[in-house]
Amino acid sequence: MAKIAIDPITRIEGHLRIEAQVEGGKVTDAWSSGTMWRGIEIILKGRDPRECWALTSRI
Amino acid sequence: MEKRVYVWEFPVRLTHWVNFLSILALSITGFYIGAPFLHAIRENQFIMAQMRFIHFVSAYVFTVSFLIRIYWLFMGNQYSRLNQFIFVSGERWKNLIDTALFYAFLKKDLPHSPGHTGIAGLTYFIMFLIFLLEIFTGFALYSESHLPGFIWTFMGGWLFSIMGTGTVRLIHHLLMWVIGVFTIVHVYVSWHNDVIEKNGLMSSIFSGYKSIEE
Amino acid sequence: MSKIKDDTSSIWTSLAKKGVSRRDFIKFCSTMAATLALPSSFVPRIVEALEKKQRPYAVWLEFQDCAGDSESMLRATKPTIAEVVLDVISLEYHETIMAGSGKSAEKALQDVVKNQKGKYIAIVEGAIPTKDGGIYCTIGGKTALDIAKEVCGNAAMSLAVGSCASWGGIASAKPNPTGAVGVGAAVPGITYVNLPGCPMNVENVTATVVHYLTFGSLPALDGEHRPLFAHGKIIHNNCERRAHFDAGQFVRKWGDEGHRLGWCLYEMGCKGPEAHFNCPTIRWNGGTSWPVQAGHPCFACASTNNWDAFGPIYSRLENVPGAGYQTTADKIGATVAAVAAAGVAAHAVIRAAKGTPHKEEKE
Repeated sequence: MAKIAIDPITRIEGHLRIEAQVEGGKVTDAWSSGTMWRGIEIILKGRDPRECWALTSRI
Repeated sequence: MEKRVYVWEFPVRLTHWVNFLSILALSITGFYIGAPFLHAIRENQFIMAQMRFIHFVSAYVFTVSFLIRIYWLFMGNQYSRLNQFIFVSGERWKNLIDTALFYAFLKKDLPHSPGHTGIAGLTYFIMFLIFLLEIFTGFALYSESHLPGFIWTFMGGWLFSIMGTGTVRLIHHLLMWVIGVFTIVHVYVSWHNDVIEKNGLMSSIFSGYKSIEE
Repeated sequence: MSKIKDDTSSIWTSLAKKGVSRRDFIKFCSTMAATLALPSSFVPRIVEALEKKQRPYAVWLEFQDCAGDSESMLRATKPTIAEVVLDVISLEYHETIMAGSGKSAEKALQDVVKNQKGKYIAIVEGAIPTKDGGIYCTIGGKTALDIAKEVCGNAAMSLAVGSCASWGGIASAKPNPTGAVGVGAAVPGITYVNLPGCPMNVENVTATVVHYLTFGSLPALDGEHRPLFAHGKIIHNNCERRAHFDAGQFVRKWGDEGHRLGWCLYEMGCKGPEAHFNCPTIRWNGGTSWPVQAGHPCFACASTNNWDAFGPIYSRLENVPGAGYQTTADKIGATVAAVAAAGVAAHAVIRAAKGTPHKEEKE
């Protein structure tokens, strides 16, 4: 049984980590994690609603 | 017996009225710059450009008037000296408290002094600082249109090393309102005290003379 | 991505191999001189540098980003050569476009850091989180902070591209949940240039690289480590709508007649008077347009803290700290003045009722 991890996944926008548990040549379990967080939802709170498009478009 | 005392010397009165006129011009044009309340209807109008021009010229006039008054703090008569605004004697503090109590209807009489009351002295000192901050923030904003140079850094650009442009603008804008509130209170208190003291206080800022009890 | 080999071909020979004509190459060098605000007498020096200098290695790191700066780089079209130059700068690592992934990607990065130590250019996009040990951005199990310290620490110079890498950008907007900072703050002591913008303007980045290749040094920088050729002047002074500002012709509502006639966007919240950038001059997407030209006010995307320091995008006035976004300085000022006037009136009434202190009648 082996566990492989591919980090970074490239040719995507953003940061992604994929792990897979391999047994006998077959993937028996897998995990994905986004490895970056900025908290844009928190940043939006209390702001003028008319400018929210400008922040969310930077996600 | 009453005698006429020469309280406010010519430079004090001159700078007072130059301040009034320049602050009036600065406030109206400054308010317009922040929130344009007139809009051009013809192609050949230059409203914003003219408002800014008047604002900048008035700013220079105000700055010179301010500097002359600072100079006079050290050269003028006893009623215009530095110690009237930065208190070194306990007597000035006592005057301040007694005057405050009178304004609050807690004392029957105003302490008599030909010059500034303690409250006036302290208030004007604070206003000097506010004027200075307006000058620095104003020239800081003005300097953004110019290439870097020591003169602009000295006159206000140094502020950008401790705060952002937005904060400088906000301070410049808010202080205009503070000066406006001061003006309302200042005119009222001067009028009020003239009615109380009956010594020609209101006319003294024109003539320089007050009638003082001997 | 090419493997590292002893590639001694210069930028010019690489361009020639890709079919770029000599004439277009010279035109590109002239454009670069203009962007750098250099007189045309400098063009031969730029030509010589790009002819002779060896292709430098570069790695492109992405941290807390949206990949907008990468997109900006991919939009370099005017001239086409800018795109080619960036391609020709032997870009050995770029997560969004490279072929390898996982361990082979990391090996490509480590090869450059070890074999080209002190010689490669580190281009950084995105902010670096510092809270909680920097856990809010990890790549290959390492924190962004550690990667930046290693890669930027061993580079000849670092380019912090985009506002996020320059000063923290959108990730650092109030309340900055992850403690995001720019490269210069995260890795003290490195040689670096900030090239903010949301996203960066690829023309300015290319010009900075060309300057470095031509003169062997960074261009003149301002107090925030930004090149003066791009950030020395405020947008307001070069804006094509400035005449409307001076006249007093302002757009008041979206789509009104003034908006259709291309009037000044000052009252719609334009931060051009505060923003230091060269957008009106070189514009975006190969000189196609820029926000004001398209009819939208500038929001000072390159300026430090722009999301909080200048007030809402569509407001003329900044927010007063502690008050909600709808309470402007004018509202507060007018309220205080009204209260003062009311207080003064009340005092006058009470004084009149109480009368003045008794004064002896004079003979």
